Amino acid sequence: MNTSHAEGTLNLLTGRYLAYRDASEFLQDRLEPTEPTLFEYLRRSFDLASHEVLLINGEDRPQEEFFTFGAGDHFGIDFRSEMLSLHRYKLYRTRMQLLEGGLTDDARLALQEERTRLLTVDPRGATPDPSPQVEAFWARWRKGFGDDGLRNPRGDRLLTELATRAMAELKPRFMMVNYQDPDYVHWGNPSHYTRAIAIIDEGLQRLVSMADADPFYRDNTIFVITPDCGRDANPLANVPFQHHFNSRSAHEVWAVIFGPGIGKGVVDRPVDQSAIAATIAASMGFDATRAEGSAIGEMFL
Amino acid sequence: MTALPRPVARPGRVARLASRFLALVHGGVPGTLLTALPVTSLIALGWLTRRMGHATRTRFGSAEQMPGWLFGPRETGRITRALGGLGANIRAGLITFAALLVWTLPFTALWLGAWWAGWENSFNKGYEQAFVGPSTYVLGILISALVVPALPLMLAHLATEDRLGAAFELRRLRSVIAQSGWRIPLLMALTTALSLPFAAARGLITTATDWAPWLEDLIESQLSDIKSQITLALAAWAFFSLWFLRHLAARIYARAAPRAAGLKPGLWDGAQATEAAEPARHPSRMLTLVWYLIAMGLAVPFTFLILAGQFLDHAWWRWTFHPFLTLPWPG
Repeated sequence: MNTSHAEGTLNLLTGRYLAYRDASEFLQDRLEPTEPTLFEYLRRSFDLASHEVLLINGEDRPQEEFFTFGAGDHFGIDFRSEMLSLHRYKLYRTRMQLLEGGLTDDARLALQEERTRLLTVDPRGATPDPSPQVEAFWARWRKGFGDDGLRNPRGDRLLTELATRAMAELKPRFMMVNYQDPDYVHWGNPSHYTRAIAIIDEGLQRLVSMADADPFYRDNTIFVITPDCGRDANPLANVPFQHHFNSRSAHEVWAVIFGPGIGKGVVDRPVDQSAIAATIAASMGFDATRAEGSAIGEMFL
Repeated sequence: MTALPRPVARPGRVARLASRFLALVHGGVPGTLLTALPVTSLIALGWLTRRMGHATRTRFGSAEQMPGWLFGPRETGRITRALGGLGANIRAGLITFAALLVWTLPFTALWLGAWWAGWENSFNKGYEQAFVGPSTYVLGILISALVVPALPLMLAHLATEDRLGAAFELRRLRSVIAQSGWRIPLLMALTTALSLPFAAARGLITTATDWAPWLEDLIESQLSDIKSQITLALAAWAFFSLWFLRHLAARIYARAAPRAAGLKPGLWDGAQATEAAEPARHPSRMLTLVWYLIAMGLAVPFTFLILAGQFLDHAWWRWTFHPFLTLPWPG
């Protein structure tokens, strides 16, 4: 079992192991889910609009930019989630800038090249246009943060900003925030890990406070916080935070789940990562029928 | 019945072998132990430099006692006799370390800066300036490729002259390099090959919990024992490799420097090599350039091995303290 981020994220989203296939070209790292994701199960069960089911992704995870639906003969693109990320914002911005005109020939050419480059990131060539609601979201984002990319937050602070704005403007029913900054520990500074966790912690505090303050979310929102993989605890390494070397601790993950209907306490038995999807499905009242794992029953009141 | 002749006993050869073995132990055991720690590795570095100087000057006709770890020359006073060797090792170590830092910092500092630029760029999301880290690293590689092949002969010259200023006598160094020809790429190839275990060790350490999962269950004292064994093994490899490489460099210098001195007596005036100056032909500039370019090409994999080792198990000091670049300490 590969303990990389894309694989772990797909384990969480599909409730299955190895439910993906390589969709990469030479020297790329790109996976494509081959099983339905939670987004599809949820939208099919409750007839939700695409902007009510969101995946929020970071700049350093281009390989996870296309996890909005699973390829195959099941639910598919019609039940996809919307993606909020800088990549999607740049697609919106370049399209609008080209439509707005007023550019010199050189500027137009550069913009067209930038847009082509952004579009070719999707190897399937199947990036759907955003819904009108998400278009409006990006229009407001652009008004606030402009075109230069230098005013909006970056890293995991960006993800928190996208998530809180989405909660206020799009009112998603299900949202996955793909935090990623702890991975900068690969550069060799243990402080990157702890500092990134502090940034995520601040982000979670904002998200929980926002849910508590908004009647739309208050008393009906469940938070599931879980990593996509563990980290090495190699006692011989200078920076023991890798996760690519099949160590036991890289396979060991945890989850904190809280909200209405969830009891306080600790589930003191080994639980598979594939159980997370089934647990989320059970708590929201739908079935992740193709998930391998079963819901963690004892945590429900 | 004819009696078979008695086998001829050759105690001389056996004695020579035993003597060599004892010399290896006498040099290698203290050298390995000293190389295991950064501060004491300075003594090992000094000893290696003194051995180089002894080897070259002996070839130039000088009669000197072999440098020891602790004791000074026999004909000196009690204190000098008791600790003179250690003092000389420390002095030579400091001089060598200073010279190596001046020679290597221009590129190792760039590597350190490239690494810093990389994580700073990652963490603060300056992707618009993402080219800074890689281009700084590549610049460091280019400078290192130019410098690293010259280091062994620079050290041989420094050791022979026994003064810091010798490390920066670039014209003399250039003339020795010109006389060394194919031996420069040979030294570089050996340096690259012998540095492989350092990168491999980083890989083995990083993947250790994969091929030895029991490591995660060890208690602190057991881990401490394993760490000590790894440190000692790497120190032994570093010290013996350096001993071999420096010995080879001394031999190459001892052959090339007298020829260089014979060709340009004015340039070498006052240098130890003039004692053995001999007539030589002017080497072809083109051939010298070709050999050096090959050596530069062989230096690039050496730098990539440092990068690979750092990628696998990072420690910032290893950008500047590779055993073959500065202190023998393997880090």
